[in-house]
Amino acid sequence: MAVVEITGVSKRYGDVPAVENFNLTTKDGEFVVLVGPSGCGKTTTMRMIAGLESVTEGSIRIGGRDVVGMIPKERDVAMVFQNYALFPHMNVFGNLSFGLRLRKVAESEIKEEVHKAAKILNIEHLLARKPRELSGGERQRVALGRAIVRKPKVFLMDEPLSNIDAKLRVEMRAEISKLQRRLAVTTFYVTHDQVEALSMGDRVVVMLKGHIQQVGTPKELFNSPSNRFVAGFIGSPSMNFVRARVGPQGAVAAGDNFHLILPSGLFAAVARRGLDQVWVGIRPEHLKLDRGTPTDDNLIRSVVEVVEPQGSTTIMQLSVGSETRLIAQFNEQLDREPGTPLTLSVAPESIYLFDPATDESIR
Amino acid sequence: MERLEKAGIRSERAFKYAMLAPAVLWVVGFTFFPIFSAINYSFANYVLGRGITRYVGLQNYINVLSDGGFWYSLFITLIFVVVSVPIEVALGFLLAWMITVGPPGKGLFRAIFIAPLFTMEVAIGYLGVTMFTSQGGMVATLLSWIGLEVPWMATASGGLAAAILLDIWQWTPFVFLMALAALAAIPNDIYDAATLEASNHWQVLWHVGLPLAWPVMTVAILLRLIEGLKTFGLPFALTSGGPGTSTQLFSIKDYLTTIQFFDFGRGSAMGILYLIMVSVVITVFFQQMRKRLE
Amino acid sequence: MENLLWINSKRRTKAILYVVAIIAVLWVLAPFVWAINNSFKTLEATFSTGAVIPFLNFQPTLDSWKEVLGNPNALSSMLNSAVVALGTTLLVLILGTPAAYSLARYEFVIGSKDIALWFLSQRVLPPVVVLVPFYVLMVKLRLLDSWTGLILAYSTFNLAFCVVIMRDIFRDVSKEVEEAARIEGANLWQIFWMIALPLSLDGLIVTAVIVFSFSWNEALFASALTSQDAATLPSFILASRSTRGVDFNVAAVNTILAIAPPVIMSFFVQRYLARGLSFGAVKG
Repeated sequence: MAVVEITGVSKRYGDVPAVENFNLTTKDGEFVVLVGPSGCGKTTTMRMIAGLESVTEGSIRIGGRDVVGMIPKERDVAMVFQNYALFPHMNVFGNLSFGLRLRKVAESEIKEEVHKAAKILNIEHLLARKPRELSGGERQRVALGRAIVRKPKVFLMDEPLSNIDAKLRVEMRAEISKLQRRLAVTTFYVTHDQVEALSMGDRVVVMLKGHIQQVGTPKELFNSPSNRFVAGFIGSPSMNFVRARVGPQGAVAAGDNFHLILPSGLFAAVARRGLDQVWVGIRPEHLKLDRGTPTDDNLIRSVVEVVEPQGSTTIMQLSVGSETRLIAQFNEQLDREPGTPLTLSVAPESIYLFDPATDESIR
Repeated sequence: MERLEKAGIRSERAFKYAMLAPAVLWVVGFTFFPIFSAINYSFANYVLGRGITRYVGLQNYINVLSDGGFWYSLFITLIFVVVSVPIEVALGFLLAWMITVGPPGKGLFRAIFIAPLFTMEVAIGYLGVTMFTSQGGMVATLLSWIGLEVPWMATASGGLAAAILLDIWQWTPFVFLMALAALAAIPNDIYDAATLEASNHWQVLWHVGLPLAWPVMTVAILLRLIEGLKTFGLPFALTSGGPGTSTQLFSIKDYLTTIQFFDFGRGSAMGILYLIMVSVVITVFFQQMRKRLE
Repeated sequence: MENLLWINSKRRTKAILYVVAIIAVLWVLAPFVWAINNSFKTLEATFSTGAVIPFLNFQPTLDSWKEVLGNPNALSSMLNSAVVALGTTLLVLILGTPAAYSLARYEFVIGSKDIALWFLSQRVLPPVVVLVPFYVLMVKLRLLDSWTGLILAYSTFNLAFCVVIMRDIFRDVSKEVEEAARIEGANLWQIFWMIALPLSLDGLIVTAVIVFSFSWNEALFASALTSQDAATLPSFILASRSTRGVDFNVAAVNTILAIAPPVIMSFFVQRYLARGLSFGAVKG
């Protein structure tokens, strides 16, 4: 159990920055997810915590100790790798006991701890097998087991579920969450899958090109994204973005068929910034069918392009005017022919606005 | 449709055998035939200019086996191999590990380090004479600076030692190359996983590097053993088997018997005997290695 | 990506590794430097004190070079070596590459293991064992002391190399690319010639360098099967040794002439060398 404080950490390869100014202080036992597209620096950050990458600038403290410069062994962290990295020439027992053996722990104690960990993960019956004889899911448990056996201060997990098929993944997600809560060890979890991030993290760190975009609880990220990237990255299907002109009377418009009236507070914020153009963000699930009057000016008039039934919901691709496309998700089974018109409305509180120059959200 | 398919399969078969045929014929003609021919000569009495005059049964073999020089040459060859191969393997592997762990610039190091593999053995052997000779030789001079004097070229053990040193110089890079490749083939995250728990890189070598590179190392050892038992060029150019016949490796002795004394029958018998012995040794060794792998 | 084992080493370890690397490089370069040094020295300079230190009091002279290169035997032996080596390389590639392709793509009664075993057995045979048969064969074919004779012998010894290396390389060529060509209408030979071969160029080059070097360096058969006309460089060097004895400067020049082509070639095939020399055991 430990609090991890990462202050001003940067990693540069020569002139090329991989991570810039990463700041985060965890709570003890917190599950922190680092999420972002490939190349955003999430794995590099985690490897710096582990000691597998050197730190160009900044400090990392684990349990109060500054670990920059310490070899991984001295940091007392454990890591689960994307491809499991099980030692192929050792059996499961050997893999699990590796860290303890290197620390010259007594044999009887090793046996005890290994069996304990194996029991938690339900792999006791596999202890004599070699990794090549195990299934993907079993290997993953062994990888987890290797991490928990040592009772480290911090768990680091590098996309452990990426190589597992979808169905098993959902199951494993829940198991890892349960395990982490049971062991109450501060955990860093890297993934590129935002669904995974939202469902597992106490807090989520969204990264892009080496910079932190936003840190918050899943709810905060979803409801109050701080910039357009986070807004578009979190949530599936992704948020729609429409470039609109700021009109008089507290409205935004894009062409003749897109005209929305903003809540007064939001419009004031826009006016304060002196903007004449904004990005309007609307989540697909917030687009509602409207049978409003043809003269109503708080509507979106669209034409159906593609209909994708999703079981109990329906996703549609719609075109607005000649340039804008929207994705809408309806909570019912809706049938429409491509080419038919569809009128939509949005609740004012579901409208997000972003500054076109900085992509920051406007509140 | 079926007819087209059958024609397709037939032309494929023709292609597959046609591509293979020239090489197979060549091998049969130039490998099998000469071996049988050698066996043939081993039972015969060959006179230069007249060919095989008569068959003498096992006489050649008996002559070879009762020749002390033959056994001596086996002994010398054995020493040569037993000393040079383990050193080459150990040095090559350790160097490969150090380079894997170590400083950037691996490519340049590797490029330089590989050069000896491509050098001409007899040239190095002849150069070696100038390096090990007591008058002005490089090694002799360097040793004299620290007060040592070793009679390299004047004695059997000195000559053998010099040959071994040069062999190590030339062939360690071979093991190095293979070890380097084997170590590089280990996935990075396995190194990572071990580094997470290890106090230093030797621990990583012992627990991960060596075990996972071992299968390839057995091939390297086997190949060096096979080649080592056949060594000819370097020692021959270095010592000519001398002083006298004291550093005559097997291949040197057989060569001289055949080419200098033109005793083809005896030379062939010697060769066949050696082939049998070497095959046995290699097979036993190979099986031992296979057992260790499991 | 940084080498993490290096990052995590202590400073002392790093210092030791640097030192070891430098010693290894010096050890490898020593004979080369010795040879280069001596090839440009006069006889007296070679034996003066401190002669061991390279380039000390360096007054280069081309005497030894002129002596060796002025010897028509030296030049002709180099020419012979070059011709024989090139001829062998060509013949081996022509015979071996199609065979390797066939073994890579098709199933035969014999398996992978058998091929590996055959190859290994080829290497076990000491060349001296078949010296007599080859000698007699060359006499019968009147190919003693000829380029062709040596080429025939060397091709035999190197064929296995080529087959094993190229088979491994061909197995890596994507089957799908070949199938795509098949669908476009290419016949089997065209697929080999226009798809598989170009894609395996690197492997071919490595094989060629290895075969060339072997043929260039081979001494046993060279000295047995040739005498005057076709004597190759190794032959010449052995003769040099017996006639001149311990001649520092000539030995040095000989060495440089002998090692230059293969060593220079080796610099260009770094990438696939491990694979080639281990006959496919490792993917360098």
